[in-house]
Amino acid sequence: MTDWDRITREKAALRKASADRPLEEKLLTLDRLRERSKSLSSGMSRPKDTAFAGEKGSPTSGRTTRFTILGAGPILVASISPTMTTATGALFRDKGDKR
Amino acid sequence: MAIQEVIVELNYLQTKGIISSYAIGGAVAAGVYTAPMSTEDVDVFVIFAGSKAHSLDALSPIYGALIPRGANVSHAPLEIGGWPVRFLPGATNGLYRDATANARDLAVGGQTARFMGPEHLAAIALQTNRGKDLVRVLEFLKTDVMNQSLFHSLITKFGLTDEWTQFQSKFLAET
Repeated sequence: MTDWDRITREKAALRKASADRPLEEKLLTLDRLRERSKSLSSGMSRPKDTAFAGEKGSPTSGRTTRFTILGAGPILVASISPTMTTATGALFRDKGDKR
Repeated sequence: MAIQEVIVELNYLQTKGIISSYAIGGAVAAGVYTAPMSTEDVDVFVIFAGSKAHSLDALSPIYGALIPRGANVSHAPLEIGGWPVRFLPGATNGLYRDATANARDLAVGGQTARFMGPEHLAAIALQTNRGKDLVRVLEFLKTDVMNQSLFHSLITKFGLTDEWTQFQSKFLAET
């Protein structure tokens, strides 16, 4: 089995687990996603429990790993999308980081 | 911010006879059957009763009923519980009407909410044919949440055979 096969299989299992969650829990997740999306787009500081891969000093910095993104549950990622990079950059700028 | 507040208000509209029926569609409904995805608003397809069914100003009773109950109208669309809610007249399109009429009643926090089924959501996605909609069809297929027989009957009934053939050649040819 290749690494990509393994990642695909893990993603499918996570997708299935997420799809099988109770409806109330899913609706709460939608609420949280919306709230965080609003805070990101308005340039406000992020909610305390939001974690971004690659953040300076974070254990996920600079490598592919499993992490929690926007409260949606554990997601296996192979790279950070341009959107996420931009969002992270905006947060760093808010904190005075010049990157 | 709570989507359940939206459900309470929708049931209120139905109980008061302001609308005959409703069904939540779009990404919120899709999230009922697959993993929830971030979305900006709640799409609600409504069927009106009586003379309002053919009115050009069909949405005004909804605004009139919900604003006194705390809905925020400072931004379009109407905002309920922090969620922008798009009310879409369901009778304007045969597929929307069918999806609304055959929506599923699901229990949520002591309420019953009506959500479009995955087969209708997938058929609507084929009809709108935007990239994000086609991803939704793919997700439904991958998670195996659709009744395939119903889905294919909708494709035939609403003339979506070309869209489905195109989708298959683009997304399913190599799987």
